[in-house]
Amino acid sequence: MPEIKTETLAVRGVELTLRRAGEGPTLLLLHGANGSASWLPIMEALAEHYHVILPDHPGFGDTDQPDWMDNISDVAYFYLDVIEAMGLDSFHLAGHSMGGWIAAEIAIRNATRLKSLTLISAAGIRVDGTPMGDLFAWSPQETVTKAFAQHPFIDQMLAHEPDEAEIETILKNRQMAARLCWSPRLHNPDLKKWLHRLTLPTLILWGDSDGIFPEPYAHAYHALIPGSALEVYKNCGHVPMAEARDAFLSRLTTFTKGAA
Amino acid sequence: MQFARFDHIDLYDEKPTTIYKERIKLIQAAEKAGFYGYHVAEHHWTPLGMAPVPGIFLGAAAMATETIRIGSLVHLLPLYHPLRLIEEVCMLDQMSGGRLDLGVGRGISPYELGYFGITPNDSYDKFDEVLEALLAGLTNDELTFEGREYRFRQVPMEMKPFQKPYPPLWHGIGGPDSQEYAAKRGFHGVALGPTQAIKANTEAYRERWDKYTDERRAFGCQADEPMIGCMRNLLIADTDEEAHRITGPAYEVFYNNLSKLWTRWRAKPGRIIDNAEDGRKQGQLICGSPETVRQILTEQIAASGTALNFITFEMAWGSLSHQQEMRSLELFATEVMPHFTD
Amino acid sequence: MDFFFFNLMPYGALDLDYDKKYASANLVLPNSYYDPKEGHKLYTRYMDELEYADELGFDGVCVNEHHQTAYGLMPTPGVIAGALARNTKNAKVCVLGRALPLVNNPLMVAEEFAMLDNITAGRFIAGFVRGLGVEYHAMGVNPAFSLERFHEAHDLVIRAWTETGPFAFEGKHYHLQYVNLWPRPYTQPHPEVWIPSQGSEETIRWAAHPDRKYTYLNVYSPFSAVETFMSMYRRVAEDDYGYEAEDRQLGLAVPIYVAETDEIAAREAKPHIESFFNKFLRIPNELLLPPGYTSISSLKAIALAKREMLGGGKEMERMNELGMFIYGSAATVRARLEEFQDRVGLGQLCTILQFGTLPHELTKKNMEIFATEVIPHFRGRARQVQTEAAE
Repeated sequence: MPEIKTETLAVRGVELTLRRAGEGPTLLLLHGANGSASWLPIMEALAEHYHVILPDHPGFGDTDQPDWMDNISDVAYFYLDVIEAMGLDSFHLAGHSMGGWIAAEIAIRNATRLKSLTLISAAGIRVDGTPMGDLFAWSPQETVTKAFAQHPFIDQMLAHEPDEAEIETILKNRQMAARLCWSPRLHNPDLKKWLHRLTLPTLILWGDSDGIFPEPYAHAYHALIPGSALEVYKNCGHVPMAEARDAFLSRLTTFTKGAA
Repeated sequence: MQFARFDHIDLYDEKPTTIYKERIKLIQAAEKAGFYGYHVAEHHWTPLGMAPVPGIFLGAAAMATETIRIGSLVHLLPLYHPLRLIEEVCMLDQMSGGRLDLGVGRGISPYELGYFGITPNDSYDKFDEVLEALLAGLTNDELTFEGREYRFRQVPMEMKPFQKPYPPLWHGIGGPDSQEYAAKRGFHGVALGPTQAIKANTEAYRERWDKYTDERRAFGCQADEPMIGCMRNLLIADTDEEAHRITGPAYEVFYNNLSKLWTRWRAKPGRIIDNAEDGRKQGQLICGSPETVRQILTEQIAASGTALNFITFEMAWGSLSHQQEMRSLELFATEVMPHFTD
Repeated sequence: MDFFFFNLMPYGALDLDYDKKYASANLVLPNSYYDPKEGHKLYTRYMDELEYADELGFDGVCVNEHHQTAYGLMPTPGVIAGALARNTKNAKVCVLGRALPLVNNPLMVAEEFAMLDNITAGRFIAGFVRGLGVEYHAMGVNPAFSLERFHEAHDLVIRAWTETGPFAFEGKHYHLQYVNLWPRPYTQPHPEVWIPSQGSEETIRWAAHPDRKYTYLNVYSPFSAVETFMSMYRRVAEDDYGYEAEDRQLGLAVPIYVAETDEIAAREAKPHIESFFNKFLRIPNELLLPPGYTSISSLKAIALAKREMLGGGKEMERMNELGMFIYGSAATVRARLEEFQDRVGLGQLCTILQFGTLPHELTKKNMEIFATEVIPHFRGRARQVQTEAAE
């Protein structure tokens, strides 16, 4: 099994915590509002195929919040700085939920170092007439039932009692997510004007039972990014990496091989 | 029926020195006329009461008179240290040769008491304690007392009252609670208000007095018969016309003095009539020529029931001039009083 | 001690069974539950009550701001305050307070308050609050910036009130090329400012600062917490800022019900005060405390204690024990208030004499008994400081 190593990198006054594992083409994973926990279960499997890099965004997990970071645009530019600082080039970028939004914002600004872009259940655009789920107004229980479609996952998560350290991380992540995403809620009104700039190979993955960004969001992204590929998993909620794990792995690895 | 004079000594024309002198003259006139007594109220920090220390004024009155009884309605016991009150009572009773009537009460104005840091929640207990200590001091050669607030140990009672066992005590009887309290201790009682309230309250008090014979004897009261009375504002002039002309404005000044602390806080004193006309209608204010006043008094006494045996008249109040007050007293003494006293 | 009458203007005609379907009467209860005909009657009645308080001799009448909720029908308190400015004679008109972070242009608060100050010739008190957490959902403002916006907005308002314009205000959240307030406030240097709060060291430290000396008005805390916060205010003033805080800098808002006897008060108040706490003020944590609104350590403590801050199930007797609701005969209520005054040196008491479903007749009676049998006893009364001996 590939070993996951944790390290920190100083960029723009931020001590960025990141995890690395595996060998192969570099895959940079950007996590969503609830932190890197959503990527961790699949990281080892991904590390069989890639050199996976999974940072904690500033203000999330083990990375502290810089007081100047106010919005997703700040985060996107920050990551462009990180990419340069790490010397990453010709790598694959994949983002989930809020991380997908960050990935899209990075790519429309500067895709020169990217080989491919994968957006999974991504935030970033608003589909009028189809409201987003208000994850900032849900109880922990509601969040689980809205984010997952399959009962084994729902039951497992509802049964889980977080300890003090976990609670603290959850609260920290929610706080930073609120700071970045509260208003305009989980989207950038200007993003849809510039998604046409994404001429690199782009894959959009979604669950048909996503309670946060319902399926129409997947199709909206697909329409806004000409040449993108779209797959929607049946009976899958907001976290395809969990609820459609095998199909997800297979599709992603195939996609990135084709985009090499 | 006994008649007396009641006085707030309210402020008018801002010359306190003159007011005190004139009041002494009025007391002397009342003495000559054969009034039973003169009682002064205790009020604080208000133009209503220029005798916040009743004892000082009563001391002056004691030295200026020979036969008329003098006293308070009432001393506000929660404001007194028991030892000093014993001393004051003894001084007054001795200086007057046993003519002191001691009124005792808790105080009616929340503002006045508030300035002393006292609210009704404490004033009941304080009243009881001061009264108990006072009577113990007046009736013993040595005072040892254990209260909530006051503790005295073997204080030699060098000061003694003239009257034995102690001067007669007076109290308000305007409601069932005060009537119960007073009757069990054998206090003389005074009420004010509309005539039908006087009838109700005085008769209720008489009933209680008769009922609590044993209790009052145990308390130390030696009187068999209570004085049960009412208080009325009075102004007699030579003619009805003159009386009415004077009364309206005078009452307005009186009421403004009475309500000043309430007005300051934009509240209204309850149950006090605020104008002369209503006062007349209700019976609290009696004014007119001597004939008219005789008539009114006759009607009121008839309507006040069988228990009433004492009326105290407030004859100096508001903007009445000293001349008007003296004349009022004179007319009362010569043309009204004789019709009612035996 | 000064006495204020605070009317929260709840939608008293609320179907109290709403909570079988909805988690709160705040934010998520559909506004189809609001009947304008009932609303009109309630507004009329509540405004009558506020004006009556002036007649009864209260030192001030108070309104506040809440959005999208049956708990309080004053999303724009200025509307009510404007009417009160004309229809009261002596009582101060108090807006306790405007939620500064929720407005996009705080200049409008400065303007509105300056108008009220001018119309009343200085008979006005300006309150500033952050707004309840749930109102960040209601108004779409980011709770993570609540504190920043509050301070920036406050600074803008004070500068607008006190500096000659035009000047530019260059803030992070608010930027205005021109600040030039017409009208300028009537009161100089500016209206009296109160800070209603549930208590935090930060707020207290800020309010007590010698540049401000704002009245800290504690709302909805058990008295033990009130004591803590008020002694903190006094200590901060003395130790950190070198001055002695006056009683007028410490205020308490609390629902009160006074009646002829303890039994009558209990019987008459119970259903209504329990409706207040359990039906009107009930907000689940996720709505009440959105992320970023309060510190992570506070949220963590709440999560670990599994505590619903404004959950239901509150009983009148328990609220009384805690000092969050005072009821009884005049003697009982007086005793309680004497205790409060003596223990913390309270200078301002905001009495919430109408609460929840309490009907007009009982509200009126409550007001009258309070005004005639409680207030007068405190007018002359100074704080009686306890000494060791007086036990």
